[in-house]
Amino acid sequence: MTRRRILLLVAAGACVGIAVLAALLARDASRWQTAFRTGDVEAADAGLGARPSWDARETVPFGAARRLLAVDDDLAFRRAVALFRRAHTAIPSFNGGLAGTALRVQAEAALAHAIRSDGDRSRASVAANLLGVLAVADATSPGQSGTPIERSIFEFEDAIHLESSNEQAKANLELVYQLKAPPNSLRGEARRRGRSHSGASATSPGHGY
Amino acid sequence: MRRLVIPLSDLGALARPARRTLIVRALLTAGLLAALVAVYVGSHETKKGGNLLPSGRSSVVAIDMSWSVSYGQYREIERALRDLAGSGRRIGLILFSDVAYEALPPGTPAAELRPYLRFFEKRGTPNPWADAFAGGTRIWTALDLARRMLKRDRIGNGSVVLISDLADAPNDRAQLAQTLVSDARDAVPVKIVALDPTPEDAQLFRGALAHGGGSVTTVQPPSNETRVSRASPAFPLALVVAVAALALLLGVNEHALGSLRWARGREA
Repeated sequence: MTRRRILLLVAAGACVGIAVLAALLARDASRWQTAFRTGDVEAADAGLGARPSWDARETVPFGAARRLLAVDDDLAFRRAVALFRRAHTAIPSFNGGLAGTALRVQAEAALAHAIRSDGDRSRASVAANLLGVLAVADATSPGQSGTPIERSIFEFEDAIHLESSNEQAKANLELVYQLKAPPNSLRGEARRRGRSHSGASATSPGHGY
Repeated sequence: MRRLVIPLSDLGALARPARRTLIVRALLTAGLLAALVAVYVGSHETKKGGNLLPSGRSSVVAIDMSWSVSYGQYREIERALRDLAGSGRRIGLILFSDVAYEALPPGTPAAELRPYLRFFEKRGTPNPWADAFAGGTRIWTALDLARRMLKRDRIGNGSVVLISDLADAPNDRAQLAQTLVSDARDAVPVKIVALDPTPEDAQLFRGALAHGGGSVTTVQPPSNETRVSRASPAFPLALVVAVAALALLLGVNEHALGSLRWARGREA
């Protein structure tokens, strides 16, 4: 066997290997598409017990398809929102109980990571708004050694800075200000008369609430 | 420039040995590459100090000094400290219970942990901080102090290693969440070495760190309490084997596949 033939055989083998790898990657990419669709449907389930996984069960190791598709931030956001839905209930006994507080810790950590890692500012803004909502729950939940409600104000303002058209964050910020400073207080009066630059006016000029 | 070659009339007869040589060369190359990778991984693992410290980061180690840990899990803490002390890295140290105390600032050589080992050699050894700590566990105080220490010393790639049984006060969870959110914001990963935690506590922290903020490694106490193995600097067996394999393969390569050389015979 000549050296040229050996080289050709090696090259042919490499090409076959690359082709197999590409086919497996294509299959994994298709699985991710299905996983997102299935996970989103599961997440839309109104039941609190819904735990969508968004798991694609890739064939190629080291999450190659996931890295190529760059879906980590999409996954982080979806998982954080799913955790938020489980952690945020209107049931005071659940919110103040061990299960409720544990879920809130996990949801807040997941949302903070989503805010930091998401390149999409509008999605990061949504996550910051949800984090603010959980911070309000932390500050008002019975049995918890209090965290200041200013933390939620910071999160809502962050959400508005990230996306100036986030109306929900603006509304939430105003509600927290109402909660914190009643209109007959000194601060509430200043705000009512427009002497205080705060609330939804923290947004860019021309984007107030 | 053309290479000088010796013309052969029976090249075909050498085809089989040439093919065999090619295969041996390919196998040797693969073996050498594998040995090189093993040497790299082996040396990397040895430097990390028993995998406790995240590689490439400046770490602050926070040790839970609450009664349940310092009394019940003292052996695991001693082992972890000894491992860290032999890592050759630079660290900061926090001792905490219901309050957190900065024992060593970030950037201190890890060998400075050795004087602390004596407090964990026997069950219930008195330590200077016993009166200051009330006995409860507030993990958020340690995580908060660690982050502030890293920020104060302007350490950009910092991390926190928390050694605790994770028996945190349930009514501090709002503050714990706030601290974890701040850690996530400042990109400070938290690596937890959990000493025989309850499944609920382990699950809480595992869930909170599952999204890229760190990891939880659970350490169970040894089943036989009477057998105490003194932790000593581990002999890097894997590294030595990998280096020996590398040397052997290089020797085989030189011996069997080196270029054919001959010298002019000595003239009488």
